[in-house]
Amino acid sequence: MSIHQRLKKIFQEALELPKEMEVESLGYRIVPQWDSVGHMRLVAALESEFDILLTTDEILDLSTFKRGLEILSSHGVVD
Amino acid sequence: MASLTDLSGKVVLVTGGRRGIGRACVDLLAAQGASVAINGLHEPDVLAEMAAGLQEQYSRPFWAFPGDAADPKAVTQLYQELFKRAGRLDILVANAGVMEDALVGMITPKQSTHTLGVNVTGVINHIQAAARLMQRNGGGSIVAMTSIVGRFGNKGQILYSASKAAVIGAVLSASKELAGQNIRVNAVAPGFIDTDMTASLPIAAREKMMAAIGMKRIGHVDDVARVVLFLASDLSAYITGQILGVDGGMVL
Repeated sequence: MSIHQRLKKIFQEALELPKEMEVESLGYRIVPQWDSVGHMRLVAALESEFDILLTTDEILDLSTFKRGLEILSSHGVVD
Repeated sequence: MASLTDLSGKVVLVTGGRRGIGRACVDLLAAQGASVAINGLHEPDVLAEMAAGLQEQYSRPFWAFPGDAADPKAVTQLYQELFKRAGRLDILVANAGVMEDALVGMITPKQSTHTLGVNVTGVINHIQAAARLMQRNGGGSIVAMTSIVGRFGNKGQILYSASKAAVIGAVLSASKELAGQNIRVNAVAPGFIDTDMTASLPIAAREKMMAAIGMKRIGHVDDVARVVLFLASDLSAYITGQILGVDGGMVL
């Protein structure tokens, strides 16, 4: 499974999104599921899946799916 | 049945662990089986020697992490490094603190920034970072160091009292926020304990403090460390959001 697919699965599961929802265009607080509580679930799931530890700045900066991919890349998580 | 104070396999971080109450916590938690990461601002060589000595004594990993609790970047780096080397965190003892006494009208902005930076922001920095590591392993225990003066105040200690009262607020809020993740957050409020920090008090102030202690003795760092062990271990598995005084019946 590619990094893109793994991250998509994390978004879907951590934010409890319907499978048909397009994850790539999501933004923080654009959908009710991605509130502050959902955000911390997302961070925990992402850290656990990729075995990394995000900085506070990165947690605050994780506002879109695309940004998530960029943050993963900065931690050396690439395909 | 295993002892409820057994910390075998647990990873502990003690801030301000080089001396005083922090050092006593490092020694006691290590004796209970934990691997301890020791943080301190000064004398990194001494920290490294401490960690190496404990590692040799107990034949398990110990780590030295010099760094300033008030510097968020340093705290982030510390946890990144802890994560790399230990892979987990089960117990945080947020003990690092400074005490600068000054009467009303004589508190400088520099003193305010320094005291609140280390004693308040530092504790919050560590609670934030520690909670994220703990939740990965299904929970943990955070023990913060406040003070009797944070509960009752004391002349000449507006700044220190305010900082320690703020720690109580942070602990109470964090305990509510983190209970659902099985992370317990409590504080210990020592009274007059015999440390380098209290040794700097003027003799008259020390005598006055002694007279206010019901048990008529100055507390020992081990008196505090044992309560930290209680709050860190499964002995207190259902306790969170509590401020436990360790003061020999001191009345301020």
